[in-house]
Amino acid sequence: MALVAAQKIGLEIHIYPRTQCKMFCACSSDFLHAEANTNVCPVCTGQPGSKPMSPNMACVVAGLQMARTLSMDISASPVSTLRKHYFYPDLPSNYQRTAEPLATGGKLQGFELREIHWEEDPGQYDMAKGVVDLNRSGVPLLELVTEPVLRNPSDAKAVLNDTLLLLQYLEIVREEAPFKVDTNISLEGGERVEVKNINSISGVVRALEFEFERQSDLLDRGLPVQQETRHFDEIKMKTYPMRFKETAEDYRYMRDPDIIPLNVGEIAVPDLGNPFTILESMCASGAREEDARAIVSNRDLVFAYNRVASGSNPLFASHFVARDLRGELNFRKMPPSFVAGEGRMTQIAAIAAAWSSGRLSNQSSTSLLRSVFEGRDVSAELRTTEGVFADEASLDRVAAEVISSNPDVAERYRKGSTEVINYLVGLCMKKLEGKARARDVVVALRRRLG
Amino acid sequence: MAGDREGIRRRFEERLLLSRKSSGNSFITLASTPGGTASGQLSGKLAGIKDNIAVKGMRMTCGSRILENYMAPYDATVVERLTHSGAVVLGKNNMDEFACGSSGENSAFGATGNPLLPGTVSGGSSSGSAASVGEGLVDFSIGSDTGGSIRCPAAYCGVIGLKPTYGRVSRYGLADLSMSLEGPAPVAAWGGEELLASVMDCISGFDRRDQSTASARKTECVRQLDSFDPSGLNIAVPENALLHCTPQVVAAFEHALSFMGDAGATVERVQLKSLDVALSAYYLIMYSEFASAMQRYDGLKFGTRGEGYTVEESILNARSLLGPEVRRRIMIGTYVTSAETRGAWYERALAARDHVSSELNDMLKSHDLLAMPTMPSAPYRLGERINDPLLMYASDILTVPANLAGVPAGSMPMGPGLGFQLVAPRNGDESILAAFRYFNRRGWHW
Repeated sequence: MALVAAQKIGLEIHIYPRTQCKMFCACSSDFLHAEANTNVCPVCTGQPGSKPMSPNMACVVAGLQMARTLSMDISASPVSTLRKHYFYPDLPSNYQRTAEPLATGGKLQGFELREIHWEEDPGQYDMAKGVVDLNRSGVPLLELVTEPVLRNPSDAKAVLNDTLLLLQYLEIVREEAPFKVDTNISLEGGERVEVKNINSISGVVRALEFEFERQSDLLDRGLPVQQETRHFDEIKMKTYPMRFKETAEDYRYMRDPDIIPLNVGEIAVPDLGNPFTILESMCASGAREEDARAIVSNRDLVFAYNRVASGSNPLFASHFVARDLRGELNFRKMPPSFVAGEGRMTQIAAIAAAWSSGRLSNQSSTSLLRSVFEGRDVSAELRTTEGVFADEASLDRVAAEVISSNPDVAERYRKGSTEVINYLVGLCMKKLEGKARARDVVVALRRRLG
Repeated sequence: MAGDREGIRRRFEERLLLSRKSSGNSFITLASTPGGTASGQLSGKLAGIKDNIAVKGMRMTCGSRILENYMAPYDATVVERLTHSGAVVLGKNNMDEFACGSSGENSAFGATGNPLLPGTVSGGSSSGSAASVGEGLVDFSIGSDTGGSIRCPAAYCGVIGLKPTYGRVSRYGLADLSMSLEGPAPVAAWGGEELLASVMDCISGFDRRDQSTASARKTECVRQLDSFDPSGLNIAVPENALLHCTPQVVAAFEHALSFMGDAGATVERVQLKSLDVALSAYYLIMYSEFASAMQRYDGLKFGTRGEGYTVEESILNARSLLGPEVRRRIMIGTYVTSAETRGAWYERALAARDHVSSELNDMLKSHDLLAMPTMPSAPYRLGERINDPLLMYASDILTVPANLAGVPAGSMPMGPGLGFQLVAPRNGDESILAAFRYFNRRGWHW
């Protein structure tokens, strides 16, 4: 019989903050697109005699913004950068620079956080080819660590989703590579197993599920679960033991004598609001959570939501911003900042208000919205279109025409396939050039169909 | 100007020839051309650069086989500043491997000879820097000083060397021995105080590539060079420091001291109690930082590649090229910073350092200068102490306190192979050079 084993899960989230430069030198932090070993200098290749510059302030500020939103305690004493020693071909100096926590404590999704600190990424080592690309060497990372208090993979998913939401809201993450995650999981009766370097939220969930199965199977059979470090294969969706054991390693942590400790408490941090508070109040006032999350992931969308909601209601506004507005932006590959520019928001809010109150049909609303995105001023058109609907006589006439030219459809409706009425509504709308409310057309059609 | 340039080139060629012929072995690599044409304060001055300081496009060996073929891809800040002021690099000076040593015998490229007292050690680790100046091959040299590495060879070779205030001269481009203790340090011949002052004014000051210079002020050594007046000065002499010295050293020191006393300085005999722990604190901290700094030499990214089927094997083989003293220091440093032992050694050493630093800094608040011999004995015969590391380490006792406290200290000749050391408060670099200048101008000679 399978034991119902309690799980203890912890996460180490290595976030790539959006920065121009590397952590300790002025090289570009672009490692995704640049040709191998082109964004390098004496510092990030560990040349003899090179010295690190002071920690990248954009990264430090991003860490402080996160810490503040997550109610963490920001370090009152100066924060030292540390050296973590181990030999590996991707590490030019054979020590990695990491740091003391810049903040500790705090909570995310109700789970206790341990700390957040800055560090530098190592380079990329291709073991098969035996080559190293040092473009990534020295790229800034923020590591957010939870206490091992998560109980199951869905907790991990929730924590990671919220982390991503926070990063997006604060606009401090690289969208193309937001983070990589190390996770540890232990079941009652077994040792702690760490799974390193997982690149996606779904990967973390899958790795934890796999480990749960693997470890409970061992325990069921009376076998020990040993403390070890494994890696996750994203393609096979399985975890494997690491080729290099590092459990017994002593990193000989030491303050980096070349870097002056940073008084993080004295650094000014912009207050951009709290996305979780916004999310909570949106949902409490009736917005759908899925839509609300899509909106909170961007401060321009939050701005748009507030404008739209003030002229309509939260449910309509969340749907309008998350689906219609975002749909138009995505279709045109435009940044959300577009909606905030050049008086567009006033027009968008007017369209939304007319639409939500029924003064504008779906089709007219969509068409006006598209015009705004195409750069036209629609204020005049909005005034002439608003409230202009076909009268009852024309509705009736159009309904009769559509039914008589589609007798087979009308027959199917009468025999009980009531859903076909949508097809007829569509045809009527076309004839009416969208100047009608769908519900009025349905009424007219039903009356004719008996 | 063209004539100037021609003169500079001719002098460069002449010294190059002398350096090639010299048996002193004070250079590892010689330059092929005089390089740039900048004119400035140091126009045409020929410089030796210690081979742990990067000169772009020149080999930088750190006196080690592991970097035998390493070409520096950039200029150290000091080199950049010197060449911009017109100085001409003649070559890269011999040194103890990775600056590990105080005799100049630990170089993979052979021991450096002492031009003043042939057959004896030149001192280290900036052996070639002091020896090439002493032999007259260059006008000045830039070495480095971690625990006495410029003052020791300056004393043994009869020249003047200055270890600047920590953080006043950028370390960017200086290969690490012990990062919290060291910095580049210039050396020039006796009588070359003005040149040394110009060099200091040129290389000192803020450098965004080295955070230790964050609050550094440029020195005003030239401006203050003639401002030294011994009358009314209060000079501390730690008596317990003299207990470590040979009678010859003590006699020469008292003689030099009386020169200042006669000129009106008050000499106060004091006890530097923390001297007892200074050497242990220094060595433990240096070992620890050194072991960390040396991690990068694995032969994979630069330096001599080790043979091997696996990464581990090739790293091991590359690192086997390091000499015995370097390996000894890496092993001890790794041990004292390991998780199990760091509390017993490394952290106690850091506490002892604070102790030395505060006692010395306090002493320099109540006194203008502190005077001591530079080295406790005259230079010994080549090979005499090479197998006794503890005896070798012990000779650093009078130089390490200044490094632990981050204060400036200089050495000038007070006898054959004997150095007179002055230690000043932080940012008092100027007064040390001014004092040396005073001795010289007033006809002091041993």
